Formats: sequence, structure tokens, C-alpha cells
Amino acid sequence: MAVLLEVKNLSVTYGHVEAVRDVSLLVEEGEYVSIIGNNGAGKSSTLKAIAGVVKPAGGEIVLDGKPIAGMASYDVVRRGLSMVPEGRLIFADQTVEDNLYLGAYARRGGARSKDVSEDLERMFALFPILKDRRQQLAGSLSGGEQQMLALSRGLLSRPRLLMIDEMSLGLAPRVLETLFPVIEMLNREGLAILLVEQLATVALRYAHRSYVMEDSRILLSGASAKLASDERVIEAYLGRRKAG
Amino acid sequence: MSRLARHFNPAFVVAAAILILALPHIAANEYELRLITLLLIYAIIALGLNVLVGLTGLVSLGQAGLYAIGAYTAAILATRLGVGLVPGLILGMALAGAFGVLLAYPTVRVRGVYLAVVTIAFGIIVENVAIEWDSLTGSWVGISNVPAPTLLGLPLDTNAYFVVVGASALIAFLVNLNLMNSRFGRAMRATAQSEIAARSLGINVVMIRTLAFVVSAMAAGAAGVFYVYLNKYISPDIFSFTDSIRFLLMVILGGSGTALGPVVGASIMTYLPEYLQAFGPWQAFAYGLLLAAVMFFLPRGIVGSIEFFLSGRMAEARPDTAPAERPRLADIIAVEQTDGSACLDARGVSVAFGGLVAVDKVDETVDSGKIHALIGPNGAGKSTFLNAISGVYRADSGSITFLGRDTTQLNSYRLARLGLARTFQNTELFSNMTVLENVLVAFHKEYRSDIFSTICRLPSFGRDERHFRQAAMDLLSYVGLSAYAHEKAENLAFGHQRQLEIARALALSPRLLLLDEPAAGLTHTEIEQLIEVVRDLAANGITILIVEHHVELIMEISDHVTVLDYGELIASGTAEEVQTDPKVIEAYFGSQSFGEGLASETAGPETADGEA
Amino acid sequence: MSAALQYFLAGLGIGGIYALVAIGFHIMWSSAKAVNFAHGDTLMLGAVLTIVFLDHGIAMPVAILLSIGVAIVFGVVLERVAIRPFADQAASIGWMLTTIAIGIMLESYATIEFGAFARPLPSPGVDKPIIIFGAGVFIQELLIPFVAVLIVVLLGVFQRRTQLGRAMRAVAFNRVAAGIVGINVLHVAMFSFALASALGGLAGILVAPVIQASATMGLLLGIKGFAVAIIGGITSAPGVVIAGLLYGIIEKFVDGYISTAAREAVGFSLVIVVLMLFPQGLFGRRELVKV
Repeated sequence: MAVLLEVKNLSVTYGHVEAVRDVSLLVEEGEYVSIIGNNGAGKSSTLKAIAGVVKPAGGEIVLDGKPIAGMASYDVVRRGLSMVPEGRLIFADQTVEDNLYLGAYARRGGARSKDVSEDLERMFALFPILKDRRQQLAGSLSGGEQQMLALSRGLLSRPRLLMIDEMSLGLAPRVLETLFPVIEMLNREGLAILLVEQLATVALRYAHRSYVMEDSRILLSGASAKLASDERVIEAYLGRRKAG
Repeated sequence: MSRLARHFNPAFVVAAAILILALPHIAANEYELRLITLLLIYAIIALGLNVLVGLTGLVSLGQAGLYAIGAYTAAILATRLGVGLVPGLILGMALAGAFGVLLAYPTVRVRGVYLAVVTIAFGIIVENVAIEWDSLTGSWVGISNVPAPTLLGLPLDTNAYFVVVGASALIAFLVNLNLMNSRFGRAMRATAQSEIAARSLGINVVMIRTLAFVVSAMAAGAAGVFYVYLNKYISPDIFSFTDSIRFLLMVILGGSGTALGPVVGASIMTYLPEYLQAFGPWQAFAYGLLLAAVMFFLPRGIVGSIEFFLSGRMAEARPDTAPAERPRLADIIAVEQTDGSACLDARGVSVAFGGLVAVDKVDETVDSGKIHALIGPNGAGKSTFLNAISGVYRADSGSITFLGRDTTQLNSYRLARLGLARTFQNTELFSNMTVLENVLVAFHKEYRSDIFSTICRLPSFGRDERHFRQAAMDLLSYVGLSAYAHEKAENLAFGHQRQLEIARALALSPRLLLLDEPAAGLTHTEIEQLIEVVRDLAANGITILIVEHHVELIMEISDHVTVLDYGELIASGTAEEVQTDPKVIEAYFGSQSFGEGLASETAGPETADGEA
Repeated sequence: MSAALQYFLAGLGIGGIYALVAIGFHIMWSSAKAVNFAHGDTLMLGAVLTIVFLDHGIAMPVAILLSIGVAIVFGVVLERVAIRPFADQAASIGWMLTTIAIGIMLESYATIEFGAFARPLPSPGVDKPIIIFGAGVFIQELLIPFVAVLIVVLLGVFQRRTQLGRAMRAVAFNRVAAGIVGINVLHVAMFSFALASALGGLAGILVAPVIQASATMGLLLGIKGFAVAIIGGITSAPGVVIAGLLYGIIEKFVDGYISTAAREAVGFSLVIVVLMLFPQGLFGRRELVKV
């Protein structure tokens, strides 16, 4: 398979704090990749740098053979790379429907086009609760519903790679039960996924390959199944030091 | 300059005094002396404004109003009652100060552009009252024929008057300098950078802002009085919105928050009109252009830019290494041995935002000397509960008792003074202040020396300052940060920032310490250190209430664990009791079908811990 | 009775201007979280330029369009040079002083070119007052509040029905989130300043027949429009329009029953009192501090 996204020696700094150091990673077309690691390990900063939300201090980011490092987020999205941010960041003071239309902002032809309304229907089929609430203000949704909306909004730009930052944050497992299978299904339909997740168990279960971050670096990488049984992963991230 | 400015420097004062005495003889002519007098008057107003803008971070666009109040007071007293300079000065400053209090009051509720509107409105009100109150102010005509100034009945000639104004400007400079380098200045800067953290350290931010407003208002008032005797004539058009902007520009141009900046700014702005006259009708245009140029090319101001350049070079010298030995906490702060009674008792506490109930009738008792943990899935209301008991939010219902006292309605700064300290989830350090200053802010309420002895640098100030600097250094050694004492807090690594927050909280000599996710973002080694510190704190009799995600950490150190889910208390007991509670497992790992996989893996460590 | 009605109608007229200026402040605040202290001078630009164009024999409709066009260019340039460089700074003092500086320069330049005196802008709206229950009022004075209300309604529709409108609200709500869905925050800010300046220019043209145009007309109108935006709640477009109309009416009553000079003192005192009671303005959104 062809390489879709390649990150080489990425570093991100906030003032004097180095959040990401020398991180390299790959996502192939149609692949499901996760980055796991503890809170503050640099996972989210890596994702933000790829999405253009923060400017990298160094390194290369190549999407489809074209460099995108340092490009603004609104241009990155136009190249087929969409992000579902940590904390969801939905537009709470606009309706569910308007949030979805905004998801299609980067697409040519505007919100009125037939394609967009078809995609809206597709999202409503994925998450029927959003259809019931389409005229409600997004801020009035529950946490889980907001995450569904954020996910749908991210999909409306018709990305080839969807990056999801800490989806489980603040959500009850009951909600995750409906969300993760949807992502898996989207991946099977050909959408590449780059998942950043603190819940290592979940990420390792779904992703084909995973990267493990610690202290702003990539510590390990490989097939998820293999990593799940790697002692070092278990020690560092599943907290089994005492038991082991 | 910052090094020179840090301490009261007698040599500098003597030099300045000699210069002031000599200037009337050096000055080429009366006009030049008059201009220098005006410069010093502007310096007084700018130095006062610096306390407000540079230290406290509040912008006033109505300073001309306060200037006018001082000027009109003196002019009316002098022309109608024949009152001399000193009584006029006292009354003018008092009246302006009173309006300063009035202006400070809105800051209880409004900030930023909202405050800008209040100050603009104030300036315009004063200007229009001066126009409208014809019988007192002479309306547009103004007040003229102001008699020559008299000091204690003796008339002052131009030279003597210059010396009086010069001495006053020197005093204003020293007040600004001494205030900057004192607990009050630190409290002001702390309030400007993180109000919420300042409150949590026992700082009454309303008092601090009021102090800043009063100081700046009194300076403006004094400047107004001096202006009257210099110009012998005043009218409303001297005190317009444009003048307020000019005063603000003096501070910004010179360098806000610096000691010398306001003086430099005032000097430039005094001589500027002389040079701008060359532009003829383009005078105002050139002035606007200069204002814009300052903002673009010198946003830190002249002195501020120099200081920044120098401090950047100095930082390269690496501070010395940390002492190996950790001091004993009991040697640094007062820690009271506890008797095992309830330290904190919350009954039926609820907090709602809009319609959303974030915390729902939660009961929680924290026993003295124990380590108490509050856990729960994200969004369970843990932080909200913490904010409610620390006074950041007001509980909508229920009661909170701290050390046997009903504290339900208390602000966070009062709670802090009672011995309730806290850290913050996303660290709320005073990022532009040094590590040492961050800790010193928390000692604010412990100082015995008052504002008078601080400004006058009486011996009691020195005693206090030395004592608490040592205590703050010891606290930094205690958490292992003494090597970074003079670094800016924002330059610390994240783990160190968390440690600094703990050191800062300890300066309150707390009876109860609330830790809001202290392990978030820390490495394993740092977490080990944290565990060590928390245990030592508890051993010293400090009660701990900790909110944390790291279940492992909680299970390892807690005497008692409370579990919240969706704002409700679902379990409470020892670590072992809680982790086998089905309701807790359900909350964390979900229902059977999907949860099974997760529960068996993620729950692993806890079960393992429990059995170990 | 007819005096009271007279004050009310005249107050609506001037209040409509404050409302139009305040909508501009609202739009600019939403997109850039900044206050353009030179916004009052946009009104001056609209009014003064229309007169200058008329002097050059250009037809009224063309003169109006040209003036608004210049106002738009002014707003866009101002955003680029005076607001954007300071957008990342937490302190507001940067754009506060740069916009004030640009205001000073523009006013000074206009004084040199246009002269220091005031001139009326001819308008069919001020030919002859119409009499309503004994109170005389110019059509122009009734037209202004009507335009203000119409614009806030159109703005609402625009923000709900079009992608650009939604994008404006998205940027106001959260700039990072707006960026990741593909909204170029800088373009939206530019558009917002263009829109606000167009409304400012229009307000200047509408008010010039009533109060006369001069190089210095902008300062006080701008300050009052800003004060009105703040007490109305700068996050709410309908809020600032209501506050603007009310402020105008109150002013005229003070003017009529007390004195002209007391007008500003009473008006601005009211501003302070309202802010004390409603720190986010009458209709503003309260933002919660999260730690």
C-alpha cells in the first residue's frame, strides 16, 4: 500500500517546553494507526502539528508526497486530512445541522450542494440521534452526542485520513461502545485513521499498528497485537508494574 | 537597570537630589525650567499609572479625569479660599484617591475592554461636569489668576517651586520602585497574571486592585495640583480623552512595569510637542504616527526593551545546583499536629451550571492528617467539587465546614487564609515572575510590615523580606527547585511547574491541601517523587484531598477514596472497598458486552494492586 | 406630551446611529476579539467623502457607494496593520493604542483636507419635517433606526443561512475549531472588518444630514457606539441595537429636560451603572472561568 502520511523527525515546543521530540511515523492508505501513551506524553501535540493547529519547531510532514509542515489548519483540511479535536470543540452556539454544514466548509460548491446533503443523511444514518436533534443547539447535546457530532463534522470534509484526538475523554464506556465500531466500519470502507488515545487497551484492540509515546518521544512501534503483549508497553501504560 | 532598581539605592537618590537642586541653575532660561517642571509633573502621573497598568494589568483611559480632579480642587481652593500648596496637595490627592476607590470598585466585576469603557466614561463625565458646573469651575472659561504657590505661608519662586516638584517626583519614583519590589508589587503582578491563583493564595484581589487604583489616582491628583501652580490657569479642554491617551502612551513608550520607564516616557512626551511644531498642520498626524510606531517597534517600551535584552543575556549563566539534603518541612512552615477530627465536612453540596448539575448533593468528610482521594471518570464533577470547596465556585446548596467553621459562603482568598491551599489541574503559575517570587506571593498575608513601612523601607520591611525569602528558598529546596529560584516560572519544565505549585501552596502553612490532578503530565520518576512528597506532607500533619486519574497512584497512597460519577457520589471507603464495588467498576469500565474486554484489561492493575 | 414624543422620536434617530456603530463593534469583536477605536472615524469617512464626491459633481448614489467602498478598504487595511499583528497578545493594549493612533492620523488628515468646519449633507430625508401627534420629525431620523433594525435582522439571517455567516459565528466561538473545519480565520476577520466598516460608512452617511459632517465627528460617535456595544453585551447583535436605541432616547430626554451639557455626564454615568449591574452587558453572554 502507498504511504499516505509520513512524519519525519517532528518536534514541537511551547516556549521552553519540548512537547514533541524527533517523532517519526507513517500512515498508509486505508490503515488504522494509533498513538498511545500517558497524559502529557506528546500525543496530542503531534496530532496538532500534523493538522496545522500548532506550528512544528522542526521536522517534515508529508501528505501524499507533498510537504504540509507549517501549513495552516484550514489548508491542511483541504488536502484530505481532517481532525476530530480533543474536547470535541463543536460550535456549541449553533445548531447540529449548522455544525455539520461547517464541516463541509472546505469543500467546493458550498453547503447547498447535493453531495453535502447526501453526506448529512449518511451521518444521520450512522448516528440517528443527531437527526432527531438536528435543529437543536449543539451545546445542549450530551457529551456522547457531542462526540458523535464532532466525528460527523470531521467526516463532512470527506477526508482520506481522519485524525481523532482522545475520543474517550469524558465519555462513559457505554458511549464508546457505539463510537469505536463506527470508526472501525469507516476504516473498513477505506478511510485511513490516526487515533490518539490514552486508553491503551481500546486503541491496541482496534488499530492495525500503534506507536507508543513517552516523554515526548516515540518509545515503541509495531503491530498492535504484538505491542499489546510487549512487556514494556504493559509496564509503562497498563500500569502492571506492581503485578508484574 | 533591573539589578539597580531591585533595591533601594541611596547613591541614586543622592545623585537625583543633587541634580534637582542644580537644575534651576543649569537651565538656560525660565522657559526651559518650566518645561522640565512640566516633565516632572508628567513623570508623577506616569509613575502612578505604571502601578495600575504595568503592575496590576489594568488599563485606564480616564486618567485625565483624576488629573482634573486634583487640578480643580487646588485651583478652587487657591482662588477662593487662598489655600496654600500643601493643603491643596493633600485635599487634591485625597479627593482623587477617593475617586480612585470609586473607579476600582467596578473591577470587582468587570475587566478588559469593559473596564476600558468604565474609565473612558469616567474621564468624559469629569470633563463634562467641569463644563457644566459653571459656578464652581467657570465652565469653558476655566479658572485663571491662580496665585503663586506658598509653602507653609512662604511664597515659592520659580526655582523653589521646581525643587518642590522635583522632590515630589523623586518621591513618586521611589514609591513606584519600592512598591514594585515588595509583597504589594508581587501581589499586583500575580493578580494581573492569574487572578484565580492569586485568590487561592490568600490575596484579596479587590483590595490589591483598589490599592493600585488609589496609588495611581493620588499620583494623578498630585500632578494636577502641581500643574495648576505651574500654569496658573486651567480649563476643561486640558483634561480630555486625548490627554488620558497621552498619559497611557508615556507609560507604554517608556516601558510599562519598569521603574524608569514612566520617567523616560514622560520626558519624551514633554519635549515631543516642541519638535512636532515643525510639522505645522501635520502635528496631530505625526503624533498618531509615533504612537503607532511605538506599538509596532517597541511594544515593551524603551526601558522594557533594554531590560528584556539584558535579562536574555543574563539567563545564559546557569544557576548553581540544588542542595542534596531536603529540609524538614516543620522547620520552614508552621504545621499543626492534628487530632483526627474532621478537617473538612461537606454536606449535600450541589453545583449547577445553567441547567446542568455538575455536582449533585455530595457528602464528603475529610479526616485530619489523612490522605483522601476523589476519583471518577472524566466529567464526573471532581474538579467542580474541588472548586466548590475551595471557594472558586459558590455551592448552589448544601453546607461546607472547614476546621469546624461554616465556610459555605467564603471566598477562596478567605479560605486560603484559614489554611486551605490548592493546586490547579492546568497549573496556574505566575508565569512572568521568578520561581522564588511565585512562592513569595503566597507569603503575602504573613508579612507584618504594612504598606507605609514597605514604601518607606523601614526596618520591619527588611526583616520580613529577609525572613520570607529564606522561607521561600527553603520551600523550594523542599520540593527540589532551589536551583531554579531565579528562573522565570514559564521556563520550567512541566513537572517542575507542578512541584512549584505545591511549594507555593505550602507557603500558606495549610491545614488542608487540595491537589487537582497533580500527576497529569508527569513522568514515572516524577510521579514517584510526588508520592514521596505527598506522604511526607501527610506525615507532617497536613490533610490531603487529591483528585486524580491515575488509579494506581490513588490506590497506593490514599487512606480513603470517594468515587463520583455524573456528579453523584457512588462509593466511599478504603481503596480495597472501592475497587471491588460493582458500581465503581460499572462507572469506569461500562456494561458487560463492550466493557468486558476493557474491564479485564484496564481493571487489571487495580485488582492486582489490591491483592498484592 | 408632544415634547416627550418629540424627544422619543429624535432619540430613536440618534440611537439608530449608536446602534449601527455598535453592530460594527459587535461584528469586529466576534471575529477578532478586538475593539477598533478608529471605528468612529469610519463614519466620518463615509459622511465627509460623500460630501467631497458631491462637490466633484458625482451623483449622490455613486458618491455614497464610493464612500462606502473607501470605508471598506479602510477597515480591511486597519485590520491588517493595526489588529492582526497584536492578535496573539493576551493584553488588549496593543490594538487599543494602534487603532487609536490610526484614528488620530485619519482625523488629522481629514482636518487638513476637508477643513475644520462642519458641513451638512443634503438629503431628501431632511427637506421637511413630518408631524406625528404634534411632534415634528424628519424622515431621515425615522429611517436610521429602521435601517439599524433591518440590518440586525439581515445579519441574523446571513449568519444562519450561509456558510460565510456560519463561519463568522464559528470564528467568534472558537478560532481553533474554526480552523480545523477549513475556515480561514484571517479571511473571516477581514470580511468582518469590511462589513463593519461598510455599516460604519453607511451610518455616517445616514447621520450627516441630521448632525452635519466634520472631520472630528467620529470620535464621540465612536466612543458612544463602543460604550453602547459594551452595555448592550458585545456578543449579542440584537442586544447592542436595543441598547443603542435606548441610549439615544435617554440622551434626548436628558437633553430636553435637563441640559445639553448634562447629556454626556448622565449618559456615561448610566453606562457605568449598567456595567456594575450587568458586567457582561444587558444581553451579553457570560463566560465561565475554568480551572
